[in-house]
Amino acid sequence: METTDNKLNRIITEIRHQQPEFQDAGKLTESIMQEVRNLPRTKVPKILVWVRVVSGAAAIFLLVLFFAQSDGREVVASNYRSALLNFKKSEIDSTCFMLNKSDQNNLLEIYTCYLRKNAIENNQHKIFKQISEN
Amino acid sequence: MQINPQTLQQCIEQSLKNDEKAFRTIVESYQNMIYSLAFRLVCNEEEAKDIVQETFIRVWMHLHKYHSEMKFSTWLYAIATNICLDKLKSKNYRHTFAVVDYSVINELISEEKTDERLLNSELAEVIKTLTNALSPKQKMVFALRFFEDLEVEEIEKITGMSAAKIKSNLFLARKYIREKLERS
Repeated sequence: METTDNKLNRIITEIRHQQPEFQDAGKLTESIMQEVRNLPRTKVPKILVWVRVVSGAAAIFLLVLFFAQSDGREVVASNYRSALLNFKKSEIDSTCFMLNKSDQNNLLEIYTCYLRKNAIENNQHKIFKQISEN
Repeated sequence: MQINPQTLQQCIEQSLKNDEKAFRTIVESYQNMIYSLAFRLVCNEEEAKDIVQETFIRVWMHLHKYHSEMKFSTWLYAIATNICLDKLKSKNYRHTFAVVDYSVINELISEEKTDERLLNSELAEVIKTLTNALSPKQKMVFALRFFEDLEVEEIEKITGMSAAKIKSNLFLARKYIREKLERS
């Protein structure tokens, strides 16, 4: 009595040995060749491939350079700005503040003090602007 | 028609230079192999011929991508099985859970009839009955391993599936078919 496994193996072997009949093989070959003749086989020239690779790499490099430089400048500018602000607060404000406080100083002195303070601030802003532009 | 490796390499090089005669040699050498696989998968003569035509058109278009580290027949099988898999997954070839008459296998393939040649329609009937309820991937792997008699390593290169996945698909396909045969 044949087991199922043996039966299955026999069926598989039989199918493997039974090659399907290929009718009109020559006609099919002609049909394939006809289709192939109508197809353009475009090949990208190697030099174009290299141009694409190099331009792509250059574009990426420039982008990285741009972002790296702009980050650096912002860091320098912000450090300078905070240093500038600290200087203003400590030196100039305290002088005019003291004058303001004192009853014996006249308005002209106080006004002059603030004018000087503003001039110094404007000058420092000019310097800061020059540095950030450079 | 067997083609030796040196002649094949020359034909490939000439075909890349748009030599139609060289490409015709390649087609004539391998179209039987592709037809056999396609027929066993789709079980239809006309569909199998369409698949052969589509396969060689793709070969012509992408021959520059072929590398000689891989066997040329393996590369052809890979192209053909992709086309067959698309066909099997399409609406017309969805497997059904309808009751299948397994007695047709007993009628056509018996221990007494081993030397008789089956007609294409009979062979298609046997294969369809046997693999009716398998998924497209299972059918593909089953056909490559058992009907085309390819090793698992070659099937890995053809399908891109891992050896474990191939073996798992083969195990399930065989188990399922065996159960159906026992019940019939």
